[in-house]
Order: sequence, then C-alpha cells, then structure tokens
Amino acid sequence: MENRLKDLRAEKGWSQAALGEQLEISRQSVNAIETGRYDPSLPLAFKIARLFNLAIEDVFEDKA
Amino acid sequence: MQPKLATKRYFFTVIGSSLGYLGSVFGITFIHDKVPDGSIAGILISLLPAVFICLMLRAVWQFLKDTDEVARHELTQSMMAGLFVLLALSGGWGLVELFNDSMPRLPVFFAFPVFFLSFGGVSAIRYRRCV
Repeated sequence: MENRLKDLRAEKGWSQAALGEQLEISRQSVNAIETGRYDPSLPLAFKIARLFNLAIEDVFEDKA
Repeated sequence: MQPKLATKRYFFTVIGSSLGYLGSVFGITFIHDKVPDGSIAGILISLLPAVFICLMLRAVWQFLKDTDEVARHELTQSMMAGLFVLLALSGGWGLVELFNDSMPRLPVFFAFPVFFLSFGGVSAIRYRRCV
C-alpha cells in the first residue's frame, strides 16, 4: 500500500516527531509508515486521515 | 502511554534485569561449591537468575501492551526470529545429540541466552532501518 503521509506532513510543516506526538506513536513509527515498511491498522489509518481532514483513500492508496 | 516513555521504561528494566541476571549467574559460580549439592539452599540459589529472567519477560510483555502498533509489530517479528533461531539450534543439535552418544550435551540453560541474544540482535538490526 502506498501513502501520501510524507507530502501531507510536509505541507503542514510538521516534523516526524511532531506528527508522531499527535498520533501518539513514535517518530520511528511515523518513518516506518511513510516509507511503506508498515501498513497501519484501520484505527490508526482513520486517525491519520482525521488529523489531515481527509478521507482514508486520500491518504492511502491500494496498488493491488 | 506515550511510546517514548514505554521505550524508556522497557530499556531501563531490560538492562537492569540483564545486569542482575549476569551478576547472579557469575555470583552463583563462586558460591555453589560451598552449598551441598541438591539441597534446598542450593536449588534456591540456582533459581536466583530466574527472578531476573521473569523480570525481563515481564518487561517485554508490558512493552508490547504499552507501545504503539508499529513497535509492537517490529518486536513481535524480532521475537519470532529469536524463537526460530532457538528452535533451529535446539532441534538441530538435539538430533545430533540423540543419534551420537559421543557428542557433548548442550545444557538447557543456554535456551534463554540464545533466545534473547538472537531476539536482541534482530531487534537492533530492524530498529536501525526505522531510524
């Protein structure tokens, strides 16, 4: 699964640590999601989308 | 709990317990000769490192509950790798021991260090990829 998290974060001017703090996850975890090494659970994906006022499919894209 | 705090608590407990484990194992090697073999005191002294093993396992359990899902995923995968190393070693060497009487016996004591060393090693490698 691909995502636009890095771009969305950059638009807001947030660091990985700042985003992690808002999502209650570590900076390393933000990095793992951004680089596509980890696909978040549905609750976390909803939390991310809600933070950016977007729908889940606007943040995450299933390439399958 | 904040992941940072959970990680800090995890490392503090694991490092402290590891030092306690090593200290108690080395300490026992110096005093076990002075205690009658097979006595209650001897058995209790031998079990002292197990207290630190339990503390370490409890710290892992607590961290799995407290940390975020990504770290939980990474830790679980590292533990699986540690378990596979242990099973491969014990299964493989167990067969060598079973069919070759002349081969030295690997003490069961090594199960815990082998698991934790491989689990820790894989964790460290995986963590470096996240930084």
